[in-house]
Amino acid sequence: MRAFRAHGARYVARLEEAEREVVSQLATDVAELLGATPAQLAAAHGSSAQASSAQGSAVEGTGEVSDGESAGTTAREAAAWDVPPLGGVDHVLASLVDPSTPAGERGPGEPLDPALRRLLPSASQDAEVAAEFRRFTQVDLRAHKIDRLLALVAALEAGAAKGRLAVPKDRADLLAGALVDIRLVIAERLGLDSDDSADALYAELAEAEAGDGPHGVAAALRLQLASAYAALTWWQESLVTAQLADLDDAAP
Amino acid sequence: MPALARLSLPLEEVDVAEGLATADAWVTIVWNDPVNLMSYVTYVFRSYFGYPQDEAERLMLLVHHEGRAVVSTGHREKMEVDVQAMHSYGLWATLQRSGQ
Repeated sequence: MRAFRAHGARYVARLEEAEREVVSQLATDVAELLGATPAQLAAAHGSSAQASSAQGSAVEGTGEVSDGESAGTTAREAAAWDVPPLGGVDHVLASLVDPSTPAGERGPGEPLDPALRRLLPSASQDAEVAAEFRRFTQVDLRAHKIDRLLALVAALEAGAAKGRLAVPKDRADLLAGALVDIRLVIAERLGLDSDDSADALYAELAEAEAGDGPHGVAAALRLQLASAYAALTWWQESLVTAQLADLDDAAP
Repeated sequence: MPALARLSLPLEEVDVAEGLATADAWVTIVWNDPVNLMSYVTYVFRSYFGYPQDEAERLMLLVHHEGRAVVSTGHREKMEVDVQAMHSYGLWATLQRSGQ
């Protein structure tokens, strides 16, 4: 996994195949947690599979980011991020959600899962104001978060043959938001609830790297999540650094 | 975002004098969390609210050190839009009456 860098009108980062699979799986998991339908998940995973197998990297030349650029790959990478704006779609169908679905997990109520409550937080300490806010905004916010997580999945597939992830600059907030959502869910599962516990996580990772950590399946799983969290945090920092640099350039 | 407008009281339920006095009396608060990067929070404050770097950084540090900061003030409807935007960015924000 390499840092995001500005390349013309896009931010591009290279990543290994194994890393691509992990990021794609995490994005898919979080989209599912938010209630993405099987059809949505299949569409995100299948959107560019055919196109990229027909146009392998051998056909596309050197695989360099700027040289030997394939117009087809670039167009598919950009198209992956073509998601409607927040609240830009009428979610009439949301009212048709299976009534047996636990209230809150799909609908406009407060979610039961603490990880979902990180993604769809309470807008007020006043319960009545909070409930009213959820009723009118949550369906849109949830749909938007699913859309951009699945956009990340599709963009990863579109860039697979080139070993990279690319996002148009004017769409980069979608990628940043998707990365935050994945990190919020991992953080919740890891029990990161304070700045101190976040710092402790890095100490834990260093310990494991030195071979001093705990052993066993649970410890190994926790370590995997912690490594993914640390890698995604670093990746996000590189993206926001590039975004801030562009804001600096745009400032008067 | 038409749905948001319905969050506020219908006009006829608002006393005119009170309406004038409280027209600007809502705030959006962003809360500290252990996940969002200081650079990202600064980016969001610059990018969404249009704050210059210094002000965005000052607010970010307030969130970081004090646990929360008021990031915008205005009509309730506007605060609802801001809170939803913050939630979309992955920050935790709430709205409340100013001074509460």
